[in-house]
Amino acid sequence: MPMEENLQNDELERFFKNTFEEADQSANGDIPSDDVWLGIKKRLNATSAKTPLVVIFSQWKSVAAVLTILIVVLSLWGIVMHQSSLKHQVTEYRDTLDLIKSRMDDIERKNKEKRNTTIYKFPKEIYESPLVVQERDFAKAGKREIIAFEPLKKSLIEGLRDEKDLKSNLTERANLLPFKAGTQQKTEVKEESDQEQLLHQEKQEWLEKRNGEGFIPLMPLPKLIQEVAFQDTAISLPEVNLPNKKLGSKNWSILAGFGPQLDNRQIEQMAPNRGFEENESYRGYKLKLSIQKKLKDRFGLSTGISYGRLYQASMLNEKINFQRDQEQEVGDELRSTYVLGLLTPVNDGEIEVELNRPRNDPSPQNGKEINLELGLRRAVTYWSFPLILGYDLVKVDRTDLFVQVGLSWTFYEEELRLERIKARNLGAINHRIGFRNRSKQINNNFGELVLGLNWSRALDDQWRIYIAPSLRRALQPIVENERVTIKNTQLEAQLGISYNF
Amino acid sequence: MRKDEQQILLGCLRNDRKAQRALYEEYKVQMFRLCLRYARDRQEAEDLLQEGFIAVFRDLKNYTGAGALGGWIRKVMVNNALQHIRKTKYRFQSIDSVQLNEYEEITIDEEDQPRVKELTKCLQSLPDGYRTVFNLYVIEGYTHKEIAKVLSISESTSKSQLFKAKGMLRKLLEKSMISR
Repeated sequence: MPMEENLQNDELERFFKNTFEEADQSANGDIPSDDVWLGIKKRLNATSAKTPLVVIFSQWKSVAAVLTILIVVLSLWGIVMHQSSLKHQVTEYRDTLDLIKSRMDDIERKNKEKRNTTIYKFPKEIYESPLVVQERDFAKAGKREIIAFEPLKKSLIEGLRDEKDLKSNLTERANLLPFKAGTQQKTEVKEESDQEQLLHQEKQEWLEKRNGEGFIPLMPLPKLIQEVAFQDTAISLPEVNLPNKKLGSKNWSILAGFGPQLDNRQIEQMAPNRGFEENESYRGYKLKLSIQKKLKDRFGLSTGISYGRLYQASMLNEKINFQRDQEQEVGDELRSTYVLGLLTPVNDGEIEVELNRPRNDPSPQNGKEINLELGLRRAVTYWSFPLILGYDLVKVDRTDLFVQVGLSWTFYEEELRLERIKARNLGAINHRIGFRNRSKQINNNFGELVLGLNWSRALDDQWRIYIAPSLRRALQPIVENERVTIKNTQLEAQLGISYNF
Repeated sequence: MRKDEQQILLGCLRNDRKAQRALYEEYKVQMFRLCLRYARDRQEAEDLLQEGFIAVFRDLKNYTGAGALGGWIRKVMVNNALQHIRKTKYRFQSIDSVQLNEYEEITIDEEDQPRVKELTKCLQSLPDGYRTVFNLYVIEGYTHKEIAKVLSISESTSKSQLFKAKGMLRKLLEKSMISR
């Protein structure tokens, strides 16, 4: 191509480009007819009519307010219903207690009558045995309580070959006695021992009655506590959902967080004649590190690891006949948790798989637990609906299903609202309410309220800090049946920093 | 971003008609000029403008605030025009088959950007393919590779269309000068 023509081409291009660019600086020019706006208006009206959701979303404040009120009302309603249910159960429980007490009184009365009528039917040799001498001396002191051993002796006497055999057996039995006869104090102890035998007998009857009905037995209480306590310990990480399009134009994001954990749990376990009340308190911290990779504008992959250590301090009150008799401190227990997660964020959807492996865990699950969470989060400008469906698999034989729904808001400074990709938000709040169904061992539903405040601030284009405290409160006892009640509250906070590049 | 423009944007996000009208009034002249360059005639340009603004209101929630709003709207308009071109299956004719369209003489109006009108008229006189490639390459600053991608043609076709477009424009401009 000749040079002259090239130059002409360049000049022609510049001529057109400059002319139109200059024209764009001016407000003057060809004006489209009014029909254009009328056409636009007509089309916009038709679109709005076809998609009422858009209208709803445009009035987000009203919708958010209504949903919040609905959630609060439902929560309160659930609590009230639960309270009335509790009252009903307490009434029934008191009736049962009265029945048991009257039955115990009957047994006691019958035993007393039996003692008075059968004491003098023993052969003379028995009173001359070493044990009997002590008992007889005791009897001389005017203490009729010696009769309490009468059934035991009867069983010993029957089938004995000679007096030597009798003495040998009686001496052996005497060594097993929990007291030494001869003082007033020992008499009282012996009375309590009798009482305990009756209680034990009652307990056994109760257990036999319950056996086979899928009810949690009373006796393996420590095991139960460990089991139930474990279920709700290794799960929760505060939701750290940085604002929509948090990856923005960046491809990678590294997030590191650190924060304390508090977990308080009250456990009450009742039997007809005995109860335990334990206050467990976990104190610990959690470290979290995650890496995110943007794949598309709104989706990416995330993986991370979380390490936590929990120290447990427990206060146990043991109640016999529902009087507080003993109180002891169980002491510290260390529990470490590792979480490896796979997450597809960001605000439009998330699938999370967590593998928790607690260390030093005394529970029968032996530290094996997998949590699967499938979440759906739809962002509508700067607020969103998170919906979480979850599946917890704990040592194969127990599964939990849960569903949570809630609302999230992200707050922006007014002038930054339209620049939310930069994510310089003032903060975000998200709360969820959910229900969990526990299968097999503990058949129980419960509601859980999760309140989280997530505040983050961009320091510059790459660095941002966040703080994310969260509170999880069971709206009703996690496990509740006739005998077991567990109330749980968890508080966590995370202070973190993220780097985008 | 200006405060009043922010208010208009917030209103548009709420689907407020007044705010949408205000945004339309603010940019209609500039965008209509753009549409005229891509269209065969005024009627088609108005159609492009209407479709373009509907796309703007629909996608405004995706506007991130990065860059001027005018630039973003312009991009939406260009994309809309390209979509229209793909839909109507503009023919990207070979060089040999092209004939000059009859050039309508322009009445020069000194008060109404006569040069712009004249050049726009020249562009509208071009065959569809030439006009589109010229607009994208010269005015919007696309590369031949990008043009080939968005118009689903080869790079060599894009280059040849541009070459011929410039040749035709030169002739049209000369004719215009003579007629004055």
